[in-house]
Amino acid sequence: MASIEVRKETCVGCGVCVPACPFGAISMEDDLAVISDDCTLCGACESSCSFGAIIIRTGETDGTSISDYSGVMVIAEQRDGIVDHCTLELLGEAKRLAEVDGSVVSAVLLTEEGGEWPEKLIQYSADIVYIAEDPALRHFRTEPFSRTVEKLINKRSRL
Amino acid sequence: MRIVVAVKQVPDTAEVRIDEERGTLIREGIPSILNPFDSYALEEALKWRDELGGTVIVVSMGPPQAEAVLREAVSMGADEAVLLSDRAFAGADTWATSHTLATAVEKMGNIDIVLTGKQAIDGDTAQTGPSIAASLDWPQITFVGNVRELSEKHIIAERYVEDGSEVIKSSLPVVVTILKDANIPRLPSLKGKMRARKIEIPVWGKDDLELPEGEVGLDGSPTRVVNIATPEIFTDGQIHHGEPEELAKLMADSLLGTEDS
Ligand SMILES: Cc1cc2nc3c(=O)[nH]c(=O)nc-3n(C[C@H](O)[C@H](O)[C@H](O)COP(=O)(O)OP(=O)(O)OC[C@H]3O[C@@H](n4cnc5c(N)ncnc54)[C@H](O)[C@@H]3O)c2cc1C
Ligand code: SF4
Ligand code: SF4
Repeated sequence: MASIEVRKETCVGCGVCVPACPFGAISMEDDLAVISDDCTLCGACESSCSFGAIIIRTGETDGTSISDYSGVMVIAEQRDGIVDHCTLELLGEAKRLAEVDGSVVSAVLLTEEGGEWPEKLIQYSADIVYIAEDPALRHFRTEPFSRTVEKLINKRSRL
Repeated sequence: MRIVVAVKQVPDTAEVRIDEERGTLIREGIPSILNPFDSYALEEALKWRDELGGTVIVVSMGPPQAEAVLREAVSMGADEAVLLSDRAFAGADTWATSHTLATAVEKMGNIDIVLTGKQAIDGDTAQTGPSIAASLDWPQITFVGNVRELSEKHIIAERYVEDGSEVIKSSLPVVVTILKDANIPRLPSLKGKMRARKIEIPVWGKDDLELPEGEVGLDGSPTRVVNIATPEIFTDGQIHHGEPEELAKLMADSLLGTEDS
């Protein structure tokens, strides 16, 4: 189980962590930071302590590793077949993120008919465009949209 | 009809004051309240129960003090309440929170609808409702401003979106997130207050829900808050009163740095 600990030998009692806690869970007792049960393990104090006296330990997780996945995917928002401007802005941001580790920017367009949009998305710096065309994708609905994207992500991560 | 309403205890942001010297928010002694959006979800549940019969169960995940919002919900008319509290739940992000809430819904059994507020005024993600739906593999209708029809078989609801509204029909069971346009929440009744004082609220932990450690709390959370910042507070702004021409000149001067010319 995850836990939090103040290392007694490292804590200098400066009190900087007390106001850093958004939940009022830290108090000073005999020049030592003490953490109460109100702590939600949010982690805000850990970075506030310049002495590294606060340590949050995590336990075992379910084994899915984020490193099995790579790339930045932008889900294109379309209304009546027209891709929203925010999607184009997102592609710019995705490019910036992808440059950090040299990964691929992809755009997913779920629509009734893609028309010229895939090309446009490439012009706006998508490396790959996935298109799902179906009359059921004409208007946004949670299930068809999320299931299509979920399948795509799972398929791609195993490539 | 068995309806679950997920409610969250949040700090009353209207009461948050500012430490002028430090420029930070003072959080000590801030009262906790029922997340305002959740009272609309609760009212919607009570309204339909009153019409169709059935049971409204309120559930909250949080520290032991979160019991207070469950009692408040009972005073408004909820029939049953369950608190999900366990040290192992601490540090939960939206995934772990929703997964824990969804598992509780499964344990309750035969639930037709789960209602949540649009969002929590502290966490603000609006992810919990949709994520409960994903965890249960149920359909979902978000941002509902009006529930037009509800029966044992289906629901017809209006989603309020940017440019109008969408009318969605869904089979049950379903997860619905409610906007404040949906209704006007009722006030607690005297009878309700008395029930709220006496009602036994079961507390379920991770073992009651048969959840492994890796699926709850911080260990079960793929995301992590790495920093929380308080907006800096500036107090050196100026307020001017006067005629439009005068004010326009003042503004132009200050923008152009020509105040003294
Ligand atoms: C010991 C403990 C302490 C916690 N303390 C905090 C805390 O102080 N601040 C904090 O932000 N989170 C806390 N959590 C819970 C968790 O971090 C958030 O509930 C979760 O991340 C939901 O995100 P949100 O606040 O953005 O809610 P949103 O997704 O914006 O909320 C949408 C709706 O989901 C429902 N909902 C959300 N959270 C809960 C909940 N916990 N129980 C029941 N219904 C809920 C409500 O109907 C709400 O209107 C705590 C959990 C535990 C176990
Ligand atoms: S900030 Fe670090 S050193 Fe200072 S009181 Fe807190 S734990 Fe101790
Ligand atoms: S982890 Fe968060 S809640 Fe816990 S003591 Fe640190 S700042 Fe406070």
